[in-house]
Amino acid sequence: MTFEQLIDRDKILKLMEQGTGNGVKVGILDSGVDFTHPALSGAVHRSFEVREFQGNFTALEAPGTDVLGHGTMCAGVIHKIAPEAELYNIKTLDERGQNSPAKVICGIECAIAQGLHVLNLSLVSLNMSRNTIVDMLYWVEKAYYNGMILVAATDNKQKRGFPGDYSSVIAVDFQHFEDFKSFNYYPGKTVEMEAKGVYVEAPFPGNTYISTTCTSIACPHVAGMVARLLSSMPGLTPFQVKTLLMAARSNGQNP
Amino acid sequence: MDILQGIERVSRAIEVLSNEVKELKLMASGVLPSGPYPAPAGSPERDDQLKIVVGYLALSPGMEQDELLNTLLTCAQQVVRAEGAGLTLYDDKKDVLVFRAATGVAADKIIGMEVPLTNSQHGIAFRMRQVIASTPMNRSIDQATGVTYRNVLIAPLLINDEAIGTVSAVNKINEEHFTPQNIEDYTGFAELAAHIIRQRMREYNLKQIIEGDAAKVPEELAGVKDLTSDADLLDIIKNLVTMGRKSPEMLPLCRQLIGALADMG
Repeated sequence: MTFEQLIDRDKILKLMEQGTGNGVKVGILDSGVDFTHPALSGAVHRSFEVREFQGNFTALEAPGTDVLGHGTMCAGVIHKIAPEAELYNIKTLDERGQNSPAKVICGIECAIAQGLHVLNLSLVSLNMSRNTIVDMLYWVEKAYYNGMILVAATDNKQKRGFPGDYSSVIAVDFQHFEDFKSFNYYPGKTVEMEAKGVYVEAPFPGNTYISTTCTSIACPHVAGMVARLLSSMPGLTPFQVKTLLMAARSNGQNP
Repeated sequence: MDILQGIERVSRAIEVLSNEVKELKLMASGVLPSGPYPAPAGSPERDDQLKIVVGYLALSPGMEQDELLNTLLTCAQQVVRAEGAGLTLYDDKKDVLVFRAATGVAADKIIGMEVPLTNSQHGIAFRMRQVIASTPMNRSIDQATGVTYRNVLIAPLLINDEAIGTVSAVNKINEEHFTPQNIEDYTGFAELAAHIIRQRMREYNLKQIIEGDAAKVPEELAGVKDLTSDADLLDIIKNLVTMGRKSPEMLPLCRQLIGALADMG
């Protein structure tokens, strides 16, 4: 008997279809979110900004205005897939668009404190030091054991990078798929998933939309999909979510 | 880095690279093809030093800067079959990207144009260090050129994961959009382009040190910062040049050290 025969794929896809994201808290750790955009009307539940005070980082409740448009794009995709999910904007990029692993760690800490169920990390770093990797691992693992599902983008070319490389994080690459329910899952690979990420229409600051292709835009498709699953079956652990994703994968069919 | 530490480091490198240093000496004694290289101004000693350095650099410094960038962009255009391509470098004073070179229709109107980092695809590619293909957002470029851009593919120029600018292609020929394969190809191309630009920057810095104040870093490269390792190497070379000038008997050793250093970078 195969793994696919053990779990009914159609049932999982039905759960995804039924899910709306209701009761699920999804964090977007990014450049901020333009919550004034019509496409995101009422979607952003709370906003935080990671700021530096005397060498230490802290997350404060703040408007979290988007400086790049990147976070708004991601939030738009999640909201489109899981319209009833409560979005938490955790802005880690400063006004000059600078980010750092320490700010990301602080953002993850904030996500844990807010009891988020899903955290979208459409970012990747290829040159984190060993110490930083260990520091971030602590918080990523803490989030995982708190039941949070972390989803991160992978690097376009090298198909690696942190935080996606942690086993407790689902790393996502882009692929051409028609809808969010189609995706590939590769158990045991560093980049576990390929999701819709080719010319995706997403809201952009300034009441506009952008059609874009990149790993960053594939990542929120998985976050939104997980939010749907969690709203259909509240209380799923990260391990259970991964199991369901694997069973429902598009590349596991027609053996 | 202390000069003694530097010399120690270089001495070790010379030991390992002794064969290459022999080859270098041959090149400096006249075997080096002089065709594409300009004759640098200054004393014969300086000429030799420059030849040694030049011999270790992959690119021909005889190529004019614009020519280099344009060649790069012609490749950038062809690698993904686009109607045009552009190269921006980061201006950290203004916190904007500035088009330093462009090819294709109305390219001359783009050069010098500033692209904001906020709410632009160039900004996303640069700040998020990610290749992005999308529909155009910055209509000021359309207005300036009189060309309507259908789609754009932007890749960050990364050196050690630090972005120095972007390389972009516009209007995919005979197709509606740039493809995922184009994105993958462009990622690799941008990596190569970034290293070529970095190499050019190092070369100009070396020239500046060896030729004194005569050589000036061209505007195109002014926004490219040295990596820490490059800055260390340039410091050592600067000290060696000074030492060679003050103590002519040290000149042969200095030449060897400079050559080895240029190679190590």
